[in-house]
Amino acid sequence: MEFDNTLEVSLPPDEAWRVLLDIRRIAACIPGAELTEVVDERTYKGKVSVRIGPVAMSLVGRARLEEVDHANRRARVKAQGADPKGRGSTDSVIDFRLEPAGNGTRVLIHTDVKLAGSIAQYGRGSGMIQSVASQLIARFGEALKTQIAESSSRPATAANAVPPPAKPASGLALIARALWDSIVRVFRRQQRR
Amino acid sequence: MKPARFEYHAPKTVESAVALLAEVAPREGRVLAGGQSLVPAMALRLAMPGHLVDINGVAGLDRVRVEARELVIDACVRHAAFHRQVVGGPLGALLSHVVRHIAHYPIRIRGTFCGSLAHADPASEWCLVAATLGARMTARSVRGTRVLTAADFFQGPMATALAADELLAEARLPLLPADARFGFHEFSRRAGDFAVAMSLATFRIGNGVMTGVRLGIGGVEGSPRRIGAAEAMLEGQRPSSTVLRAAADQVARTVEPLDDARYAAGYRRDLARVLARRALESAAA
Repeated sequence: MEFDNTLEVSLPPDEAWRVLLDIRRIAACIPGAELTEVVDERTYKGKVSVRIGPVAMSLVGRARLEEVDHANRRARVKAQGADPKGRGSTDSVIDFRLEPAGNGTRVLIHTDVKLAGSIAQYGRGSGMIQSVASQLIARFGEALKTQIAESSSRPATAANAVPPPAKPASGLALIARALWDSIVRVFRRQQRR
Repeated sequence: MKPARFEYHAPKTVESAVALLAEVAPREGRVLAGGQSLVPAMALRLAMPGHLVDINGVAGLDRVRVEARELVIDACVRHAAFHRQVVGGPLGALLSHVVRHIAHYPIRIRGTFCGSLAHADPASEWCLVAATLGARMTARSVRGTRVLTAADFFQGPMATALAADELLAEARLPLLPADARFGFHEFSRRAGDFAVAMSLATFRIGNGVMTGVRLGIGGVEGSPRRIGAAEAMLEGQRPSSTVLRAAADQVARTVEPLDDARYAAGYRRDLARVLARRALESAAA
């Protein structure tokens, strides 16, 4: 399953690029995400808690920054996650790139999700993922904006941000999205109609 | 499959139900009403609530009544209750028309009106009714009672404003005027399937023109909603086929449809146009 999302931030591309590569800041902006371990500067472990209707689960996994193209401001993240209760796992690739948009920056996110395990075997397709995904991205974008606004009022922050790191952000969000999708499929098929 | 282990609670009063809910909400406590969505998800072990608070035995949660020009539907009122007209006038007729589109009869016997709202599936007929008619939802918890409008209540696919410790105690639908007309149409591949798109229209006709126009679309976006831009094109106009078509076109321009492998956004948009037109035509007929 592949899909695209965009969000806009009020920083110029150079700064936005730096912020987006700052995993701690990014992780804090993802709804339901928790960064549990920094393995190395490109690999992170984390957990995303998601809920759709009565189905609530945490996906535990890792995200790795596979490619970083500073010149073109593109990056590729690979993320893997699994439900500790054995409901399934996901393996995903997220490509993101930045481009100027007015005074700010547009972040283009392309995600490709693969699902495995019991959560993946029901039905196919759903009507909701796209909507849930864009909501997730929107919430992420808002949290990021708030964060940026707060940090720009405290000029020192950019300097003490941890070195280059990664961006499991959309990686983790991605896992959540994949999960949502699979759950929704089950609902579609099994449920009331 | 069998559900994962959970603790079952069967309170007898609303007070004890919300007290229990407050206690178990942090440990994945869920309300069990009709169970037509929750239980299958549990059987598949997708949903693994730690606690179920079964409200079926709670006294006085199974009534449908009229209070202050509103139809009040309690938490345990089943879909099937609406097969007969629960209230005179167009609202009762509307509900008994719409209910036949919900799943299949055995499901309608168990599933509840309020449960459907709380579950907030984008393709839920009752959610469309609630959004279009401007229902108000009463949420109760140990922290008190609050009333939510449909616009605030529905927050996306399977997402509502209800907190984990809140019980949707009742839904309140405003009665329709005696001369109100309505039309409802939905499309699904097989009878009883989730609808891909649906539309509900209601208005009055006085001196040949439409007033009090409400036009809702469900299944197309993450939550059902009224399409104000199309309503504005109808208000005060004669229900000619040109006017109705123009409004349906406006619907198609306004919606931001869900997009997935089975039903592309463009297809849903086309369905929204056609179903809105049919709903309007049925109401005008």
